[in-house]
Amino acid sequence: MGMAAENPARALSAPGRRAYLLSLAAVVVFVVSIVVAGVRLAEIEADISRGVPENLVWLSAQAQYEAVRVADAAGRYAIADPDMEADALGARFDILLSRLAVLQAGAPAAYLRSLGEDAALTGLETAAATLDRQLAEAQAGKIMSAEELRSGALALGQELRDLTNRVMLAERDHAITLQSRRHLLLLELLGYGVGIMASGTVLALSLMRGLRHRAEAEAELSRHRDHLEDMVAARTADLVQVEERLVSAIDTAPDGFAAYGPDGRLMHANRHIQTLLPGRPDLFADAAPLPAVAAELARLGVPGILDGDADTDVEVRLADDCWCRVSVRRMPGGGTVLRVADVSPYVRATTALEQALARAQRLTDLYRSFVSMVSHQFRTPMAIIDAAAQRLQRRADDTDPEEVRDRAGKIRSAVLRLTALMDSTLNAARLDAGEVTVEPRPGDLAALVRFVAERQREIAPDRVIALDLGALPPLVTIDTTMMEQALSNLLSNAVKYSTAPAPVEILARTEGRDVLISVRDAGVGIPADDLPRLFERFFRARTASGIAGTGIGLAFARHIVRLHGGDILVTSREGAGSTFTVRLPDAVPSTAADTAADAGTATAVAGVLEGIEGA
Amino acid sequence: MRVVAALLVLLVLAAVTPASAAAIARPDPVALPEPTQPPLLVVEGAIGATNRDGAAVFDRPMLHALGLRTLRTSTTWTDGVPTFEGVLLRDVLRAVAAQGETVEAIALNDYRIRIPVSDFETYDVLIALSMNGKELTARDKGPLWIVYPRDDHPELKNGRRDHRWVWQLKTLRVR
Repeated sequence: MGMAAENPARALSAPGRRAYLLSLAAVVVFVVSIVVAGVRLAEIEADISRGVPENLVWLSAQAQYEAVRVADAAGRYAIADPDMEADALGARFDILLSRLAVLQAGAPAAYLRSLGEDAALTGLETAAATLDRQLAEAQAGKIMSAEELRSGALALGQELRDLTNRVMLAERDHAITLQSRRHLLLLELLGYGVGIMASGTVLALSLMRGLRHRAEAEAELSRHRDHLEDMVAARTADLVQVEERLVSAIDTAPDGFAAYGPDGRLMHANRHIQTLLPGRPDLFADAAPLPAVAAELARLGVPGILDGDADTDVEVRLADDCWCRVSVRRMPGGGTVLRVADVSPYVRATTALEQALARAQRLTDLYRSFVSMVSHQFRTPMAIIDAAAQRLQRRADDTDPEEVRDRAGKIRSAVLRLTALMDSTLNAARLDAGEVTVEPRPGDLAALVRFVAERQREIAPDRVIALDLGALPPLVTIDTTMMEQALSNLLSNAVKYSTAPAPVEILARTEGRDVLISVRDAGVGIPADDLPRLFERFFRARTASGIAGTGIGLAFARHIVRLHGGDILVTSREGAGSTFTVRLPDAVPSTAADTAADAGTATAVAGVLEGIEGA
Repeated sequence: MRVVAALLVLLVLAAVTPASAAAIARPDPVALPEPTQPPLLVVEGAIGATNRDGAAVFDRPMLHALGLRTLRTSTTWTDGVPTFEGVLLRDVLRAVAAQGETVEAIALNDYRIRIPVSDFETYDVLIALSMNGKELTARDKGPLWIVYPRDDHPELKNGRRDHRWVWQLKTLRVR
């Protein structure tokens, strides 16, 4: 409708344009017919209002009548009728003149002239003048003049009758002309009336058609609107259903979800996201802003993930070693969906796997070192044993007992070294298996140290081992079996990396309840840059090359001391010697009960020491 | 036409009633002054003032005494636009205490026509005594001519009431 109103001719289809042109033509015909009919009617009106001709016949007849009366009066005056005085004759004549005057001026005169009666008008004027003169003479007493007046008036009457006749005929012609003209005009008007009616009918029909079309269009529009409304309602119901399903799916999902509108306000969030990101209680309240979440994530160490428009996935470490994977998805419509998943188990598993892998890698490295160490360290004692055995074999018949003893001693010494190597290797295996545990209880540390020193003297009889154990309390809380191995390692190292006659010193003291035992040598010492790695397994300092060793002893010793809660400190100078100090914290028992109970334990320790010595 | 006539009658009634009432208020005939010159106009019929045998006879001075008015108008019977001088017809009727609704005007040649009194109340209809400063004579259309103010009122134009323009007026008969 709006388009049609704006530009009807262009917007209409071909039939529509035809109807439009038809209507336009009808309007034009209608207007023209009405205007022309109006003009014609006005002309008829003008014709009707011209009333002079009808009057003129009457006026002329009146004048004729008065002329006859004047003739009559003049006749009677001539025969001296007593009723006809000069005055009365004059009065009659005046009336005649006045009737003539009416014809000679104004509209009647103009009309007569239009009929070509100029001569008649002149004749009237002349006759009037003549009669006036004769009247004056008659009144003066001339009978002849009265007679002339009578015949003149009669002649005037004759003339007037002829004029009346002519005017009548002219009027009849005029009337007939007028009538036929009016007839034609009426026919014309009838034609215009038909035109008006026809165009009016066309207009009315087109109006009705327009109204019908409009009604149809409105009905169609209404149907369409209803259909649209139904469709919208159905779609809305579907959408609501989908949304409800979505919401329930989100609510029951194991992950946290939060959906934000294009304005950055929270539209929906499930409970899980609140429990997964429990930063602030109002973080996921209704219509909470997205930037609040961004701020919270920034506080957790992941800043700026909501700044850009790109989708993002980050892992966030929360309190209690929990890990969350936060996924940001930008919707095409401008909204944002936030997903928070608890990935702690996966992260922990990954970490564990990484650690296990590293440990395995380390072990592989360790065993590679171990194998090379063993192949190197075991070869020397084996060679010594083999050499001694060959000599004894070759000279079996003439060997004196002294030489046999010497050779057997060398073989034993080599076997001892092999045994020590085996012990070290075993210890390493025990360490890796995690089988090394300590059970500290009060024991006689001084006796343990003396036993270890005694055994070392057996291995190296030429070395001086000086002991200063006077500061030790009678009982110290230690695992004697393990501590014996640790101290034995330290002492054998001190002997191995120094040479006679330099002594090896063992010094014990206490600091509060801590017990400290130092083993000092004046040997090769340890380069300063090797010190940090000194306690690594299979690590050997540069100064140790050429001296048999496994690199296990120190690591094992520190492991045992650390199991006691203590540690081993090293001070060393290359070429001047080294001091290893074992610190055992809280190793001095404080109560008498401990002391009493430890009496039995000391006996047990002695038993253990016997066993070791036997081995 | 019947409707128009009925309307006219109503108009006449409305216009005439006050005048009639005024006339009734004067029951006895009042004597008019006697004419001293030749009579020009005789008013007879239902009138309340007379000076001769139930009729009122006017000579020129008596008419002049009613108050002269001038009227400039075109007519069907003259060329140009003449100026008339005369007395208002309603003044004459008042002077004789006329009590009718129609006036029959009679001319010297016995032309007669009835004119409703309302015409004289509605329009300033003159009994003209002179035209263009010249006294009207019987040879012209005088001595008295009823003249309508044709140019002042559209409904009087086109000669529709030309038959009421009585010239050579002799007698008014009030009915």
